[in-house]
Amino acid sequence: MNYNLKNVVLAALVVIVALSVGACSSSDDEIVVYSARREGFVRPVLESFEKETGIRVRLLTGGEALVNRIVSEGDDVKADVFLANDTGAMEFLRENELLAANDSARVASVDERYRAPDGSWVGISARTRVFMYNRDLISSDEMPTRIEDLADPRWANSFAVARGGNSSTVTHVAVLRSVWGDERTADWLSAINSNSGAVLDGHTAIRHAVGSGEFAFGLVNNYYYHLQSREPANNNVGVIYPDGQPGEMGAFVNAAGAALLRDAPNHDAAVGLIDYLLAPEQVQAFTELSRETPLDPSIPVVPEADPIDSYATMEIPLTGVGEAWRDARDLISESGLDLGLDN
Amino acid sequence: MADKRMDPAGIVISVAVTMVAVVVIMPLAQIALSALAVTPDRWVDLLDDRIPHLLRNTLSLVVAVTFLSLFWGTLLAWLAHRTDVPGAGTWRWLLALPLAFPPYVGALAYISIFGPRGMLVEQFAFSPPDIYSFGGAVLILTAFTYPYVFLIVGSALRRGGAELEEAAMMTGARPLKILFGITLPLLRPALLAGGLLVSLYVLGDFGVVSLLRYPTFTSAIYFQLEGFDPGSAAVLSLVLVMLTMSVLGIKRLAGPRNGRYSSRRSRPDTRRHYLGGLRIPAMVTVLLSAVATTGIVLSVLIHWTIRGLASGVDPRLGTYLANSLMLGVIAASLTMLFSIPVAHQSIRATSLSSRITAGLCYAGYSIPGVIIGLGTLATFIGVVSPLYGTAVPMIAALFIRFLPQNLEASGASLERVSPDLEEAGRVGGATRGQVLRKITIPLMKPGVLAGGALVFVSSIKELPASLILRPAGFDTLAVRVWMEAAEGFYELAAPAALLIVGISLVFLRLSVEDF
Repeated sequence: MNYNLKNVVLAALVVIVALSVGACSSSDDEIVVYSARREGFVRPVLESFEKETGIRVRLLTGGEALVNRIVSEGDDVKADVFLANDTGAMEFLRENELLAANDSARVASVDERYRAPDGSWVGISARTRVFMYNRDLISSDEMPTRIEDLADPRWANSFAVARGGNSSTVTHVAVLRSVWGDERTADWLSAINSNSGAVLDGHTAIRHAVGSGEFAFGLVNNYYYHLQSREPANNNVGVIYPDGQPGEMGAFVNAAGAALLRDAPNHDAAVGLIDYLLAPEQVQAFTELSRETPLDPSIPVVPEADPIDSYATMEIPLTGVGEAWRDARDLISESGLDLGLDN
Repeated sequence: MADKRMDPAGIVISVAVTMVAVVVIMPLAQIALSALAVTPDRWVDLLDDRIPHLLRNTLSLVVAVTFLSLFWGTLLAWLAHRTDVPGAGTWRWLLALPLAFPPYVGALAYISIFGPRGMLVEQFAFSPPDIYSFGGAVLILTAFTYPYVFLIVGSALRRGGAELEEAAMMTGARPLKILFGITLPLLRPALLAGGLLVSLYVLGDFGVVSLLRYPTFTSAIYFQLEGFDPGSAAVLSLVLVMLTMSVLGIKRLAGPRNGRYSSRRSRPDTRRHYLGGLRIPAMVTVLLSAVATTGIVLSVLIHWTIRGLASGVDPRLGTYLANSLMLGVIAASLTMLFSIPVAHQSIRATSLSSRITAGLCYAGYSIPGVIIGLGTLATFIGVVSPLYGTAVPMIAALFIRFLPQNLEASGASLERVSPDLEEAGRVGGATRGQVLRKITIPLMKPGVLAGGALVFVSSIKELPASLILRPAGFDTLAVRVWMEAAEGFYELAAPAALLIVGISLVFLRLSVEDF
C-alpha cells in the first residue's frame, strides 16, 4: 500500500513538473491567443493560420473577463494576441500600457478611426449601433432617425434596449459623452430608462423581441439585425442607421478586432497573426460566420448587410474611449439605467 | 515516551501540515488583502447598492433550496426505507443518482427543454413559465442537491427508531404526534448535516445561477471581472466568505458537535409501514422524482449527443477528456498523500497550535470555488509566477477545494484506529515512523483511497475555479459544458456532459456505500 500510494503520487509529481516545463517553454512555433469572441467564429481562421504557417495556436476563450486577467497578469502576460469584441476593451488595455506598438504596414492601411495610433490594436469588423424595427408594426418613414430620439416621449414603451452593463452599451455611452458631454448624456440615459419598453439582458433578447412584435424597434448592433433577418420566422425586420443626415453625427461604429500584447512571448508570430486576420479573404470568411460587416469597404459583405461606406459614420476616432469606459459605467449607473452587472 | 521534538516522523508530519495550511490560506489572504485595498468609497457604494440586493437573492435561494431539499429528501428517504412502496430497494439507489450529475448539467438539460428557445417552445409552441427566474433556480438546485439529504437521512432511518414509533403507535399516539415527537427529533442530526451540505452547496454554486442568470454572490463576483473591477469582486468575495462562516456558525449552535451519521451502523432496521391505499400515490411520487431528475437529464443529454454526433464528433473532445482525467488523477493523488499527515495531526495532536494548523487545512470545504479560483490566480501571478501559465494553479485550487473531502474519509478511518495500538508498537520498540508505516497508514488505507475516489470525481465536475484558472489551450470537460451551454450550443455541450456523468457514476458506485 505504502508503495502503491507513493508511486501514484510520484507519478503525479513528475507529470506536474513535466507540465510546468512544457508550458513554460514557449517556442517560436507557438502562439497564445486570449479571445473574448465566440469560439466558433474564431476557431476556423486560427486553424487555417496554423495550417499555413505551421505555428501552433493555443486559444483561451473567456469573454470580457480576460481583460481583467491580462491586467492582473501585468508584467507577466502569457498571451501574444487578444481578440476583442469591443474597442473599449482594447483601448482600455492600451491606456494601461499593456499593449505593444505594431508598425505592420497592413495595420497602417486600416482607416485610422479604427486603429490605435501606434497600431497596437486594430479593428477588423464593424458593429454599428442601429435601430432594428419590425416592419409589421412600423414603416421606415415613421421610424426615429436619431439616437437622441430615444429620449422622446413619443416613443415611450415602443422600443427595447440592452442593460447598461452590456459592453456594447457602455462603449456607445462612452463615445456619446465625448460628443455630447456628461450632462446631456446623463439626461439622455435617464430619459431612455423611463422611456424604453424594456431593458433586456442582451441584444439577442432584443432581436427576438422585436422580431416577434413585442416591441416596434430596438437599439442593437447591426449583426443582430442580420441574424434576425435570416431567421426562418419573425424575420420581417428592417434597419435604420441613425444620425445619417448632413450635420448629424453619423452612426457609431464599434470595432471588434485584435490587440498586440506588450510582453507577447512570441512577438513576431503575433504580428503575423494580426496581419493574417486582416487579410481580405480571412475577414470575409470571418464575417460570414459572425455576420458582422468588414471595416474595409472593399471586402464583400454578407447578403443581408449594408457595406460600411453606404451610410454615414461617426468621425471621431475610437482612441480615448477606454478612458471614458469606467466613467461611462458610473454615469450609466447614476442615471438609473440598470447596469445588470450581476448577469 | 521519547521526546517528540527529536522524532523525524513527527517533524515530517508537522512540516507537511504547515505546508498544506500555507497553500490553503494563501489564496484567501490574497482576496482579503485586495478587498482591504479597495477605497472606502467603493465599499460604501457596494454596501449601499449591490450587496443588499445580492444578499437578498443569495439568502432567499439558500433558504428555499435548503428547506425544499430537506422536505423532499426526507420524504423520499422515508418512502424508500420505511414503507412498502413497490421497488423500495431500487429506489434507494435510483433516487440518489442525481448526485452524479453536476447541477450545471441539470440546468443545461432543463434550459434546453423549458428555456425561451427550448424544445417546448420550438417543437410544441408551448411557452412554459420563465425558467430564468428565482423559481427555476430553486427547482433545479433542489433537484440536484436533495440526494445529500436523501442519503444522510436514509442511513439514519436505517439505523433505527422504528421500534419507538411502533411503541408510540401502540399506546395510541396520533401519526402527526409521532412524526413531530419521535421521528423528526431522532432525525435532527441527520437533517442538520444534510441541510448544512445543501446550504453550503447553494452558497457556492456558480454553474446553475450563471446559466439561469439568477444573480447571486458567486455569479456577481465572476461577472464583476468583466467590468474590469477586480477590487469589487474581492469585496463581494469577502462578504460571501463571511456569509458562509455564519452558516457554519448556525450549524454549530443548532447541532451536536461532530455527530457521525453514516459511519457506524448497527443492525439495519428493516421494519416497514404498510401504506395500504397510499402505495400507488407513493410509487408515483418516487417515480416522478426519478423521471424529473435522472430521467430527464439523461434523455436530454443522449438526445443532444446523438444530434451532435450526426454532424461529427468534436475532435477536441478527447483532449478535454484527457485534461480532466489528468487533473482528477493528480488532485486525487495529492490529497491522498497529504490527507495522511493532516488527518493524523488534526486527530492525534495534543497541542492547540498543531490542531489549529491542521484545522486550517479544512478551510477549502466551505469556500466557494469562485473565490478559491480568484485567490489562487492572485497567488500564482503575485507570488509563484513561474508556475503561472501552466495547469499547476488549477491543480492547487482543486487540492484546496477537495482536500477536506479526503480528510473526512481518512479521518474517519484513523478514528477507528485505537491509539493503544500505536502505543503498543512504541512500547515494542518501534520508532514513530515505523509505527506510522507499519500500523497507522495501512489501517487508514481504505479511507484514504475512498477519499481519493471522491476527490477524483469532484475534480472532474469542478467548474468555477477551473474556468478562472485554466491556461490557454487547456479546457476541461466541465469548462466546455458550461461554455457551450451558456451559448446555447447543446449538441456540443451534451457529449462532454455525458462523459462527466459517466465517470462520476462509475466512481460514486465505488465510493458511496449507499449506492
